[in-house]
Order: sequence, then structure tokens, then C-alpha cells
Amino acid sequence: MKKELLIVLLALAGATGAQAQVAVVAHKTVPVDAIDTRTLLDIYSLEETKWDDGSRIALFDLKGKNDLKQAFYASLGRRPDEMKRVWLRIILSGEGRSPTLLTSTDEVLDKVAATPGAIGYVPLALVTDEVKVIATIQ
Amino acid sequence: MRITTNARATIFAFLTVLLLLAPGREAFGQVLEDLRLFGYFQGRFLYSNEEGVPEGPEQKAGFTLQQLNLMFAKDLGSDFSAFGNIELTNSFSTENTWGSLKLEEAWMRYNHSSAFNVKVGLQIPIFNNLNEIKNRTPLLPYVGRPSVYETAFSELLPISVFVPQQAFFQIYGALPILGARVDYAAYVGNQDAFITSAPVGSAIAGSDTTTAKLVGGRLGLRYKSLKAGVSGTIDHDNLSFLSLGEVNRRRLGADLSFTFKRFFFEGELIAVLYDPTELQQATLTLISLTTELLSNNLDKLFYYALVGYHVTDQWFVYAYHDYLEDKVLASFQGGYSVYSVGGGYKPIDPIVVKLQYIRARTNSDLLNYRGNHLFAAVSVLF
Repeated sequence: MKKELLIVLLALAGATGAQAQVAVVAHKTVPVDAIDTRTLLDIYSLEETKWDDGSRIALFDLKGKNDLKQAFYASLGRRPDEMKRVWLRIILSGEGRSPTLLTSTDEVLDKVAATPGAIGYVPLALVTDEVKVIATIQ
Repeated sequence: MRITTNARATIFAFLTVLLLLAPGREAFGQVLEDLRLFGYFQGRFLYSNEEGVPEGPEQKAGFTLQQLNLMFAKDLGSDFSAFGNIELTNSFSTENTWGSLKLEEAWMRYNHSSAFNVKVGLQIPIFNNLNEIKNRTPLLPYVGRPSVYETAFSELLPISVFVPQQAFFQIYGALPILGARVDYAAYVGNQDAFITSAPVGSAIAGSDTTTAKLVGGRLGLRYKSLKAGVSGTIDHDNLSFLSLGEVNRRRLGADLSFTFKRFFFEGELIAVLYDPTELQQATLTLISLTTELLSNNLDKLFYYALVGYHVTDQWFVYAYHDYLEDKVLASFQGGYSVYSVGGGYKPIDPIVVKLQYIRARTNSDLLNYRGNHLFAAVSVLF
């Protein structure tokens, strides 16, 4: 996977002009410091299931519908329902398992910090020192 | 059956080793915890109005539990996984001799990377786009599938003629190239047409009675939402009922699918080409001269095209057309055409309510079949 740092800019439509910043976070032992959208899409499409060092990717996502989730997948050129169809085909073919769905961004942060090989996404403002940011979506 | 002293000793030694190696209660609980159990079922209501069937015009309506699949999956370390799939169809009941129970898949996979995988065991081979998922009802927008994938049609035209049903060894993967992915798959398995359903001599029921094998594969390209590929298999068909014996057969397939905004499109083409020997061809020609039901050309053709639209994340609609031609059967030489429209609603992710209308026609003086079918179904994932 590429190690160049890329900033993905996505203007969010909104009457107030407010922009949500989404941080893609990973466990500190994950062997990449930066990730591009192509690789991020491959990971969340379950195409890539291992990091470069051969360790398993532990994938986390948010349950339900919310602006953060919409923004994250929009930056990858997908809708959440499209991703579900991709996951379902892979699961029912026995080829993998869907991301672990969590109910809050706090839970995502805790799980990513505690799970080797983990990756997830949270609001940039919530990031702590217990994880590392490998991409930012603005 | 008498058990000899040596056999008793062997059994005792085996059981002793097994007990010593067996996991304790805690480990056994861990085994269960890591095992993923899931599946799906689809219940269906069908109303049919058919004309041109030998028994005369027929109307029928009824409910059935069309299909239930139980799936088991487990990761065996970081590189290996196992998967099992048991399928029950048509309100399966041994008491009433309804439906069927089938071991659909049971395989182990070695996953080196997305670029290289090896799958060993009973599996569905990769051929075109729909073959692997033809029985995955939660993935299918329709209830009645395109003709060659529809098991309800199999008594007239066995599905296995058009698409390979089983493989036992497969290598496959996806290679990233210039922002796209090149998919490849190659497999080997039994020849479907020679699998015996009853012991024949020394052959075990469910095994291939020949030494020749099915060999096949697919080469495809994926770029964003576009997926396209070509597939092929080589094997023999069993045409003993025509006094032809084993006849060389090639299946060639092409598939294309893509999404555009909320539209989705999928289509396939399958050509089944036979290469009879001179003697086989002469025999077939002779037979065809004695009956108007058969011709001397064994080849077959199928295609389908579907367009759909996701009205919202929960509602979808679609329409498809499929066409099937069997040159050897006079009833199907002129083709069998299906037109279908339908839609569905997902109140929550695991549940899909489907509605579908199918209009089917043959184009033959020998078989003037007209069928109108209305399906209503619920597919549930658990």
C-alpha cells in the first residue's frame, strides 16, 4: 500500500457552510502511516483483508445512518447501501465478514485503540493519542 | 460386522489420542464462539397460468418455503478459513417426500492475499457473474431467476447443461492493474453429467464415474462499479440416452454488470458448444431423421439482460428479458423467451419483500407454450 500522505477534500453541502472533518484512525501497530482513498475503498470493500506485513485488518464501522457515515463513504465514491450489498455478497459467499458495527464514535475509538490491526473513522475532534490518524476527510 | 482384535486395539488407541488432544471445556467454548452461524430463507407465493402444456391449460397457486440455507464459517488462523452451506428446498419434508436436502458447499480456503487464493472442497465454481450467487436469495432482486439459473425449470432443461455446478479445487484472485482489478479463476471438478446417484459397480453414489474432469475458469476486469468477464469450461456431456455416450462440450460465457447513479445493469451470454465425433454426429443425424422432436445440432444459447433502479435505499424496481435456445430440441429451436418486471422493499436490512411478474413463451409449432407467473416472496437473512 502507498505511504504518501493525501488529504481528501470533500465539500459538504449545508446551509451553515459547516464542514465535518473525519479522521481515519488506526491502531498504533498498523504498519502504515498514511492511506489513500483507493486503498481505503479496497479495505472497506473487503478486497484487502491484510496489511502489508501480513497481519489481519480489523475493520470497524458505525451502525445505522448518520452524517459521519454518509460523508465517509461519499469520500470513497460510494453510498452506505451500496457497501452493504458488496459486503453481503462476500459474506454469503463465505469469503469474509463484514466490518464490526459499533453504536458510537467513542466505541469506535476505544475498539481501534485496543485491537491490533484495527481501522475505523471518527470525527477529527475526538481523536486521542491512543490511535494514529492515517487520513483526513474534510 | 465383526471387529477383530487388531481393529479393537486401533480404535482404542485412536480414542485415547483423541481424548488427550481434545480441547477442555474452555477451549471448546472458544471453538463455538469463533464459529459463525448464519443463513437465509425465502418463502414464496406463486400463481401460474399456463397454456400449451401437454396436460392442457393449467392454473395453479400455492405457498412454499422455497429455500432455506444454513451456513457455517470459521477462520482457521490468519490465512485459512472454512465454510459450509446446507440447502433445503421446497418445504423440505421427509415425511411427505417434499423438496430436497443438499450439501451445497463445504470447503477450506487459503488466503495468501487478494491476489492469490486456493479453495479446496465442494464449491460452486466461478462462471460469469450469477453462477456463484444464483441461490443467494437475499442478493437477488427477483424471485424467478433467469431461465438457466432457475431450478424450477431444471426438469425441462437441466441447469448443469449451461453452467458448471461443482468444482473441488480452485485458484483465484484479483490483481490490481492501473487502478482497476483483473480477476482470474481456474478450477477443476467432476463432470456433472457423470455423477452417479446410485452405486454403480465400485463407484460411490455422488461421485464421477469417469476419469475425465471438468476444467474451467474466468478472466474479468473490475473498474469502479463496472465488472466484465469471460468464462469457459471444457468437459463431456453424458448423452447416453441418445446413444451418443460422452460428447465433448465447451461452455463459453460473457458477463457485464455496472451501476450508474441509482441504476443497476447486469447481463450474461452463455453458448454451449458440442464437438461430437464423426460417428456421434452420424448417429445423431440418423436419430433426427426418425423423429420431428430432435435435430442433429446439439448447441445451445442463452442470454439475459436486466435493468434496475434503486428508488430509495429500501425500494427497488427492475425489468429483465432472457432468451434460451436449444438447437437439438425442436420445441426450443425457435427459442424460449422470458420477460419479467418486478420490485422489492427492504423494511430493514435482513428482510426483502419481493414481487415479480414473468411472461414466458416458446416460439415453436411443436410446443406453443404460454406462461404467466406472479410471484410474491419474502427473503430473510439471519
